[in-house]
This record gives sequence, C-alpha cells and structure tokens, in this order.
Amino acid sequence: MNRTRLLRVGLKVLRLAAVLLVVSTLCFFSLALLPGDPARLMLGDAATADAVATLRAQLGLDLPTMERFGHWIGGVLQGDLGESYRTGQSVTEILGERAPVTVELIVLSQVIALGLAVPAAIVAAHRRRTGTDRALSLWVFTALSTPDFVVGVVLIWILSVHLGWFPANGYAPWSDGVGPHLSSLIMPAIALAGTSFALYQRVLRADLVETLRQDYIEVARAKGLSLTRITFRHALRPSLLGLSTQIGVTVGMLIGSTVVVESLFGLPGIGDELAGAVTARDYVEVQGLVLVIATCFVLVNALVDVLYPVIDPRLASSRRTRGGAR
Amino acid sequence: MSEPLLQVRDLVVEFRTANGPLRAVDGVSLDVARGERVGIVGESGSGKSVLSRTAMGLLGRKDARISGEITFRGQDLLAMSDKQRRDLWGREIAMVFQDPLSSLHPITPVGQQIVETLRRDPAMDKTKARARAIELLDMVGIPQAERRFRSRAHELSGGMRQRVMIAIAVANSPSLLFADEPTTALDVTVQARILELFDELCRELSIGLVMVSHDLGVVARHTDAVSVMYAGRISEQGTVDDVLRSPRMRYTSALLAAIPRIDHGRRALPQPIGGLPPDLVNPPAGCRFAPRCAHAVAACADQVPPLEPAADVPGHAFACWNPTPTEVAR
Ligand SMILES: Nc1ncnc2c1ncn2[C@@H]1O[C@H](COP(=O)(O)OP(=O)(O)OP(=O)(O)O)[C@@H](O)[C@H]1O
Ligand SMILES: [Mg+2]
Repeated sequence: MNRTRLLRVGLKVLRLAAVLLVVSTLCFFSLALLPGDPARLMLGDAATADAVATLRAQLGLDLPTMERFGHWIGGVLQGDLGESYRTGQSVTEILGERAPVTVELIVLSQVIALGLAVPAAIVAAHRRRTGTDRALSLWVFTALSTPDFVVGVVLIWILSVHLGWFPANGYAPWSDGVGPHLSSLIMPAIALAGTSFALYQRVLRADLVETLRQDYIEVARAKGLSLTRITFRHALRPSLLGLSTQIGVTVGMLIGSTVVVESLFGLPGIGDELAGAVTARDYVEVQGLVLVIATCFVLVNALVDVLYPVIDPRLASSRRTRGGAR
Repeated sequence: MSEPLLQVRDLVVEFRTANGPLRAVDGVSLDVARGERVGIVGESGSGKSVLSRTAMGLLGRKDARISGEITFRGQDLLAMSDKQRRDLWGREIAMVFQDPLSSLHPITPVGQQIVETLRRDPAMDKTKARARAIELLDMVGIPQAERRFRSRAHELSGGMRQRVMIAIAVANSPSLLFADEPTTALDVTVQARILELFDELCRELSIGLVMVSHDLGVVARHTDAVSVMYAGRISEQGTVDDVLRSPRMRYTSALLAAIPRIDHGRRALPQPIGGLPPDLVNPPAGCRFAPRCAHAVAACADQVPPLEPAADVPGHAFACWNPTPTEVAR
C-alpha cells in the first residue's frame, strides 16, 4: 500500500521532470531559430563586424547550438540559470527581484476573479434561464471577449484620469506602505481578472446547474434546509472539480497575460522583464524565465491534481479500488 | 379514526409543456390518518410521484398550476409561505426517495446527513445529535452504527443506503412519511426487510405513511388502504382487502391479471394489458382506460365515470361504467 503510493508519487515527479525537459528543449531551439543576434543588438548598427564577433565569443554564442544547449542544461541541473547578456545579472537574482510582483499580481487578480465569479455563478445557477442569468452571461461574454489591455486602458481612463483614485502607472513597493502598494496593484489586477472571472463563472455555473438537478438536492430540500445551506453545504462542493481544473489552466495562462498588463501599468514583474529580454534576444534570460514559468504552471496543475480527492473523496477511493471488485 | 393527518381534495396539477398543458394529476382526493399506511399504485407515468411531491409541498405553485386543497393537520399547505412549509419538512413531513444512492450526498458522511436533519431542532446540540444519529442508524438496522457514521454513500450497500435514508426521514419523528418507490432499486430480499422496517416504524412511531409503488404485491402486504391511479386519476380506492381481493374497476382487475403468480396454479399465465397509457396533453374524453379496456361499453368513450362508493361497501370507491361483478372477482 505505502510502496505503491510512493511509486505513484515517484512516477508523477518523473513525469513532471519530463514535461519540463521538453519545454526547455523546445524553448531553447525555437529561440536559436529566431533571427536577430544579441551581440549585434547590444552594440548597435554602427559596430564593426570584428567587435560583434568578439562579443559573440565572449558570450559563448560562437559555439555550436548543441554545445550551448548542453552547457545551459548542465547549469540548470545545478540550479544555475545563467546570466543575462545585457546586464550580467544572474537570472536567479532577476527572478528574486521580479517574481514577487508578478505572484502578488496574479494572486490578487484570482482573489478578485473568484470573489466575483462564485457569487455570480450561484445566482445564475439558481435563476437559470431567467433575465438575471442572461444578463450575467452577457456580462461574462463581454469580459471574455475584451482583451486585458482594453480593460486596463478603460480602468486608467476612469479610475486614474477622471476620478484620480489610483496612480495610472508605476509600482509602489511594500516599503511605501500598504495603501500605496495595493493602489499600484489594484487596477492591473482587475484588468488581469476579467478573463479568469468569465471562465470561472461559466464553468461553475454549468456544474452547479448539473448538481442542483441531483436527487440529493431534492432530499436536502425535503429535509427543510434553507436555500443558503443547500447551496453552500450541499451543492457547492460537488461542483468544484471543473472550477479547480480551470483555475490550474488559467493561472498558467495568466503568466503570459502579465506581459501586457505589467508593461501597460509599468510594473517591474516577470512579464515586463520577459518582454524586454525577448526584444533584446537575451537568450539565456528568456530561457531561464520560460523554464521557471513552465515549472510554476506544471506545479500549479500538480497541486490541483492533488486537491481533487480532497474536494471529492470519491475520487480517492475509486482510484484505490480501480481494477478491484466493484 | 380521529381527524385525518393529511387531506387531499380534488387536487389538479397541470404542467406547462411545449405541447400544451399536461394534467399529471386530475382531481385526486386522498386521506391519510396517523399510523395508517396508504398505498398508491399505477403504471409508470400515472402521476404517483407528482401526486406525492405535490401533497408534500415539494412541488408548488412555482412549478405547476395547482388547484384543489391539501390540508395537513388542518393547515392549508398550498396557502403556506415557503418558510412555513420548510418548517414542516424534515420535522413533521418527510420523504424517502426511490434511488438511495443518488439521494444521499456523495461527499458528506452519512452520519453527518442525519445530524443535519436532527439539528433542525434548536435544542439539539452537536454531541446530542451525534449520539442520536448513531442510535437512529442502529434502530434502522445498520450494524456497527458508530463506524458507519463516518461512511460515505458509495461505501454502503444499496439496502444500507436506503436504511440511512429512512433514518434521515424519521430522525425528527415526523407524523407523515412519503415513500416514493422506496424499494424499487433494491433486490428482493433486501426489499422485504426494508418494507418490514417501514411497517415497524409506522406502528411504533404511529407515522402516517404514503407508499408509492407500481408493485401490487408490495402494496398488498405492507399497506392498509390503497388508491389505484390511472393517467392522473384515481380509478379505485379502498382498503387493501376490498380493492385487491375484489377489484371492481376494470383497470385494477387487469393489473392484477397482469402479475405473474406462482402461488395460484390455475392463474399461472399473466395477461399483459395491451396498448399504452394515454397522452396526458390530449387525454380521451371519457374513461381514460376505455381504449385499452376489454369490457368497455358505449358510455365509456364519452362520459367520465365518477369515483363513487360501492353500494354494499361504502369505503370502497371505483370509477367504472361496467364494473367487474363481485362474484367473478372473488
Ligand atoms: N416537471 C414536469 N414537467 C412536465 N411534465 C411532468 C413533470 N413532472 C412529471 N411530468 C409528467 O407527469 C406525468 C406523471 O409523472 P410521474 O412522475 O408522477 O409518474 P409516476 O406515476 O411517478 O411514474 P413512475 O412509476 O415512472 O415513477 C408524466 O407524464 C410526466 O411526464
Ligand atoms: Mg415516480
């Protein structure tokens, strides 16, 4: 029993490692295919071919691609993600500076998205096919089809330019105080939350509608329980599996969306850094950042996987008895 | 008998459907006294479930057009607010449903589902409710009740699940219990034990029971009075002895003849009823069974037979223009 479990965990870890290896390989070689030379970009058009060649040699860019790859992967396995061509700063250090901003931004946006999506899904599921439900799904559809960038611009226009509630641009660290810090994050978080909100509301509404049709809900009603109790104690938990899957996938995609939002609001996060690194063809840095982002994505989804049986214990026992007598 | 617990008068339940109004229940009257077990039988789609769910109040004016009267202990159930009705549910009126697996919550441990019902009573604290829930599990015949308290529905057998459902239903000692095909999902031996449990509970807690079933054998052995439903109407009503031993309405006779019997050598071959139940959106004008009836006379096609008591047995009512003669039925 314990050994099979250990084995299963081991297999899972191996699978994650394999996924990450594939991602880093793909990332490395697709960057190698990109036109543009970091040395040329750094030195500018005026530089002589000699100077460019010297810099290339310094950066190790003159080596064959396979050799460069082996070098990089070897470093990664020892926890060394390499150094940025542009600044010479180590990628790990860059991450240490920038990741907290992005993580905070994503967490905040998810709190906003879930805080709105869960009540909206509950209301829509209870009033399905009424005006309320339709109004909500129209709103959801709008949120889904509006790019984060547009939401961001509208927010800046209303909340900063007209009302002056929040700064339009720039980042205030925690050391500036909680108020200014949160003010600098709130608008980008809202802009980022739009898509998540829409996806979560749709998934949860559909699952709730299905759950509310179940016999055990009728039984709960026949017990004389209040609608609130039925919703939160009986209907919600069996309806969370789809939502958890969606959260896993969405959080992974959000890391990509931060590129736009962080640039728009001038936040010093990973997304903003990544955009800069790609433009400068700072291969080592891009590879390092992408690898870390992919790792986060894989870990978030592994976490969701681990959470399934906690949300619905039937999954745990059906897995245990799979292949056994039913 | 004292004042009836539940009184249903001329109940009509009409659903709005795409094809027009559908009368699932059409002019049904029914009495249930404390400690009495009333059976409702009929083919699939005859309106048994709609009748019991409406009589309990689970199906209300929001879901269908309802007319007639439903009185529980002298109170008009249809006129009550949602809150008033909810106060009765789980405390005074309870229901056991057909499929115990889908009726139990898939995640919450079964004991907790009983506790939740018990806690409707404000005097019940958590510890007391837990102890009482284990007592109830024991009472409905679940071995190792203490351990089963923490089990989830999928870990129990079908019979155990239905026992849990019954424990939930009787947790607060209701005076009226609806059981909608409570044993249909169970195998025969388990079925017998569950039905005995119902008998026992009705006797000991003097619960009024409405038992819906399409199984005449179940109704014959485990109820006191029976109503036979056909296409939304009651076609015959009376004590089990009167209705099932000397059926008068032709549909009841046909139903009885359709049961395979191994105990009566001479009536070994069942005679299935030909044809299908009528479309409830456009029912036949007269007796609804007439198109399938081997004994239909002219009046059956265009005049609705009234549900009237038999001349000799006042408690035995039937709706038929050409009833089965009493001697033949014996
Ligand atoms: N919500 C509803 N909307 C429309 N029609 C309904 C609804 N509920 C039930 N009906 C119809 O009412 C009729 C009676 O249904 P009901 O479920 O009471 O039958 P039943 O006698 O319980 O049958 P069974 O033995 O199959 O359970 C059926 O024709 C059914 O299609
Ligand atoms: Mg039914």
